[in-house]
Amino acid sequence: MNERRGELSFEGILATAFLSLIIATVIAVLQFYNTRNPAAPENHDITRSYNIILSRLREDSQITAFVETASDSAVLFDSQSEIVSRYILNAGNLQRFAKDGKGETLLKDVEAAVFRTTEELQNLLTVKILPADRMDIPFFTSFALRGVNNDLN
Amino acid sequence: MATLLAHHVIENIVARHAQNPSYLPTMSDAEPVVESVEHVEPVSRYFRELSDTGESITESSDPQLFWSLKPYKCQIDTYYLADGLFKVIVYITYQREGRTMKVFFERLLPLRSFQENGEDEE
Repeated sequence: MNERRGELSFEGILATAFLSLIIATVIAVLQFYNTRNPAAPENHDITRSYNIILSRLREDSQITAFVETASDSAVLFDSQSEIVSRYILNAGNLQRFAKDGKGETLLKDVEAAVFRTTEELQNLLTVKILPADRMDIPFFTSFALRGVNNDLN
Repeated sequence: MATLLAHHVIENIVARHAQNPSYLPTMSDAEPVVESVEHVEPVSRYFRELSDTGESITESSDPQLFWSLKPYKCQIDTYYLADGLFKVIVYITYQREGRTMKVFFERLLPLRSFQENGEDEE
């Protein structure tokens, strides 16, 4: 059968319809995924930052004997009274400075960071970090200072 | 958050044990971690004296932390083991879509200080 110019064959129409169906399905799946996980990237970012803060403080607390805390900073010392590290909230950025002065920003957009010990437990550093975005979960945990009593490990 | 809270409790126990080697945690039911009128149980001892005023966290003392911690409860299980060891398991429980979720950390503590002080029963 002869085809006129501009006409599709039956197979061509079937292929176009199949392709359209596949594209529509992919778009629908992507829309569904985005609806189910609207804030996934941001949550992932803050969780990653919290994991880094947790691991840095865990490493530091292994060799820290005592800590000096201020309203938004903490200085960790070993049993020889040498600095292990410093944590400072500076212009909304939580920063850590190592013994050699090398600094790194652990978390941005922080509203408050509180470091404290109590009279009863001076070998326990409690850390509270409140993100500026109230939709993000806060960071709250504690670290036993093991610098004096290494067999705690 | 549940992992951070379980970490807080385990580290609290480790610090207390370091300060006083005869200290061993006691078992407890699932207790709230913040003070609320909806809770009839007392706040878990590991979450008292946490606010800036030295008391439990309340909605008025620290609203952001209060609402983040309110869904969680803390339970402690303890076991005496052979070879002079004491096992503590910290459970942090919360509800998600009608199901009880549970995160737990466990820690072994030595009982040697009891034996050195002659306080164990043989």
